[in-house]
Parts: sequence; C-alpha cells; structure tokens
Amino acid sequence: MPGKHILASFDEALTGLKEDVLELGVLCRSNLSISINALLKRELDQVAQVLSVQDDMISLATRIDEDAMNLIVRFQPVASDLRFVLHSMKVAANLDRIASHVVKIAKRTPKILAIAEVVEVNLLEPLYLRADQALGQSIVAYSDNNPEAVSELSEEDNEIDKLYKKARKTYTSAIEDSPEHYKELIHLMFVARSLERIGDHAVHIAEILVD
Amino acid sequence: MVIEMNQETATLGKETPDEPVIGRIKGKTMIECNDVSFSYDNGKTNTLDHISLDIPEKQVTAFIGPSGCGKSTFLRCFNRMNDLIDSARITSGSINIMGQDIHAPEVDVIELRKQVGMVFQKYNPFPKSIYENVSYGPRIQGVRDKKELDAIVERSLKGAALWDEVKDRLNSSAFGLSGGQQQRLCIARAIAVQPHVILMDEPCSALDPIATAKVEELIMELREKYTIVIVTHSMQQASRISDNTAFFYLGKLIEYDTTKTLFSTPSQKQTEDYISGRFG
Repeated sequence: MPGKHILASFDEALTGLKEDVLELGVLCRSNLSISINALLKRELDQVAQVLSVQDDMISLATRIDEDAMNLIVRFQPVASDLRFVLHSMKVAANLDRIASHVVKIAKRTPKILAIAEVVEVNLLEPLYLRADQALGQSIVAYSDNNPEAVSELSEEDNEIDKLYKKARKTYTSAIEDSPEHYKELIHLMFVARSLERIGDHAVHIAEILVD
Repeated sequence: MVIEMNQETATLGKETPDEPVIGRIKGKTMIECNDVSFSYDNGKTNTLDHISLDIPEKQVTAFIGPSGCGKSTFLRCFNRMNDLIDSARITSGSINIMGQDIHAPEVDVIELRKQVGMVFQKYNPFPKSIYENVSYGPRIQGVRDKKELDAIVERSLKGAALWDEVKDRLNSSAFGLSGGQQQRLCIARAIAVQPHVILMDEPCSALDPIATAKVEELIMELREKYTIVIVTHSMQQASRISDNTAFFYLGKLIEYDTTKTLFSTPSQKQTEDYISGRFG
C-alpha cells in the first residue's frame, strides 16, 4: 500500500474519486437487482424506483469524469497515481454503460408485465445471477486494484455467454411455436442481451486494471 | 548492479538497490561517469557516492532529487567548476567526455569549460552590452575580425531565440532585458563558443511561467545540436523536456531511465514516492 502524499488534499481527491466510482458500482448492482426482481416477481411498483435514480447514476458518472480531470489538472499525477486516475475514468465509463442496460431492463419490464406471463421468463434468473456475480467481482477487483481478477471474470463471462445463447435459442424457438407471445419473448430476448452485455462490461473493468 | 538502459525499456529491479546503480545506455555516449565519488572536505565525507551513468549525445538528461541530494554538485563535476573550492575533489572514479578523462593532467580546464558550457539558476550576464556579452568568449579565444564576430553574435542570438527581440539594440545594456531574455542571453553566450555540452542548473527557477516556457522551448531546439544536462526541482519540467531522467538521493544514484519510463513505471519505490510527492 503506497504511503500518504505530503499534500493531504491530493490524497483526499484520490479517495473521493475512488469512493464515487464504488458508489456508482453499488448503484448499478442494487438497481439491477431491483429491475430483475420486478420482472421475475411481476412487481411493477419497483420499476419506478429504478427509473427515479436514473439521473443520479448519469450525474455520478459525469461527476467522476470531472473529478478525474480536476485531479489531473491540479496535481499532475504520475506513475501509479496517474494509472489509478485513468483506470477510474475507464471503469466509470463501463459502469455508465451498465447503468444504461439496467435502465433499459427497467423500462421493458412494464411492457413485459402487461402481457401474460410466459414460462421462458425463468431463463433470465440464472443469467442475472451470473451477471450480478461478475459485476460484484469486478467492483471488488477495482477496489483492491487486483488485475489478476481478469482470468476468473473471463471464465464467468464465458458461462454468461453460454446462458445467453441458450436463452436466445429458446426464445427464438418459442416465437416460432407461440407467435402470439412474440412481443413478450422479444422483450425477454433484449433483457437477456442486456444481462450478457453487463457480463462483458464486468470483464472489461478487470481488463482495465491490467497494465 | 548494471542496468542496460535503451530508449524503450526500464530494466532496474524492483528492490531498492543495496549496491550502486550503474546506468549504461546503448547508443552514443557524450559523458561517461564511472564510479564517481566526490567530497567537499578533502575526502572525510562523500557528497557523491559511487555514481556511474552515461549521458547520451544530443539529448536532454534531467537530474532530479530533493534538496541536498548532490545533483548540482554532480553537474558541476562535468566542467570542473568544483575545482574552484579548495577542499573539494573527486575521491574515486572518473568522468570521460568524448572519450577524454577530464581530470587527466593534460586537460586544459579553460578549454574544458568552453566545450562544456554552463547556465546558472540566477541569470548572470556581464555588465556590458548585449553584443559584448555574446562576443566576449570568441574574442578572448582570439577572434578579432569584426565581420566574423558579428556573424557569431547573430548566430548565437538566433540559436537562443533572442535575435528578433534584440537585433535593433545590440549595443544596449544586457541589464535592460527582462529576466527571461537575460537567461536566454546567457544561453547565447554559452553557445557562442560552440560547446558540445550545455549544463543548466535550474535555469528557469527565477523566471515567470511565460519566460520558463520560452526557455523550455529553446532547450527542445538546442538538443538537436548540443548535449544538455539540466538540474531541475520541477518534476513537470523534467517530464516535459527531458529524454532521460536520473533520480538522486543522499548522494546516490537511485534510478536512471528514459523519462517516459521513470515517470510512468518507476522501478524503485523511492523514486515513485519522490515523484508522487510522498516524500521530499
């Protein structure tokens, strides 16, 4: 663990930046959980909760970029400090994309719930659990500055990809078999796609930490 | 420990060196320092401790380190300015410039200081005109022809990026120039005698930011013709203008590498702590 800087405000700025990135990660994860649970348990009122914090997530991502730029301008970080700032910006950009997918899932949920439930919705739960685990691991990897997490996360992402392909295949077949449910099944396919993309972004976060 | 430093990679180990660091480079060397130790008190204590490194030709090499680490002392060894102090001397090792041991008996120290010019922290033009400042060195070397002196003055002032600002007042006092202009005049004075090396000891520390930027830009141009070694307290300046950087601490060479490597992935914790502002 590196020592403190002589300039205390430098340490405060670095700590503040890290805390903001972790907060965005936590927001993404908690809202992903709410979105998926709203869909699986057919509880529409939870969707509003996710949509109400959408702007907060966007503002936080913007603030992280501004904080990082100010850090670079004020303190001209070098070596590990500079790498940390650049990593934080890239991680935040990935979390911002994850937040977008979370919001997309939330916005699709009312449309899905308006239609009769189809059993294929259950394919989403294992996919969500994997994506959530990957996201959690990636946030921990950033917090611990652990580049070695990339190998474990790559394996996790492979499993997510397999589950996504299975879900997509099932939904495609289901549309052929039950065309009257095509709207809901297409929505579900897009939700599965968002979960698969969240897995990709989680791996990207770990890859960023590898110099 | 010997490090082969090329222009692409840093190869020092991760541990703080217990034995003296030796910074060798691939490519043409202008100054070769072998196991140099130096004392200000006739050898009782060493201010510089077994320093070995090569300064490459026609590049800018920066010396950084906290106050009192020996970087200015080491710089002054290259043109034997420390000889002016009675009790000061090299206590071990050798310094070769263009293959010549600068402490060999046959070396003319005046000729050495012509070949290895120096610019100081506080600009110090002579109390003479701008023209006389620049022409002084060539004149005492025997140049008498007015046309030749005029050409040398113009070339040197152009080389110092000062000609356009002073060409219409060459006979006016050097003290009438701004601080930044006076420092550039000192650089013109140094290059008038066509040195191979220019030593700069914190050349911008007495200048405002704009004058500093002009001198830095000049340094970037000068390195096409001259080998430049600069001592600086500004890490940002070192990272902006130097090709290679040497970090000193308590008289020892801690790390020496390309500036890009030293400031992005230093291999020594002491270096990282210093450049990151974790100690000074």
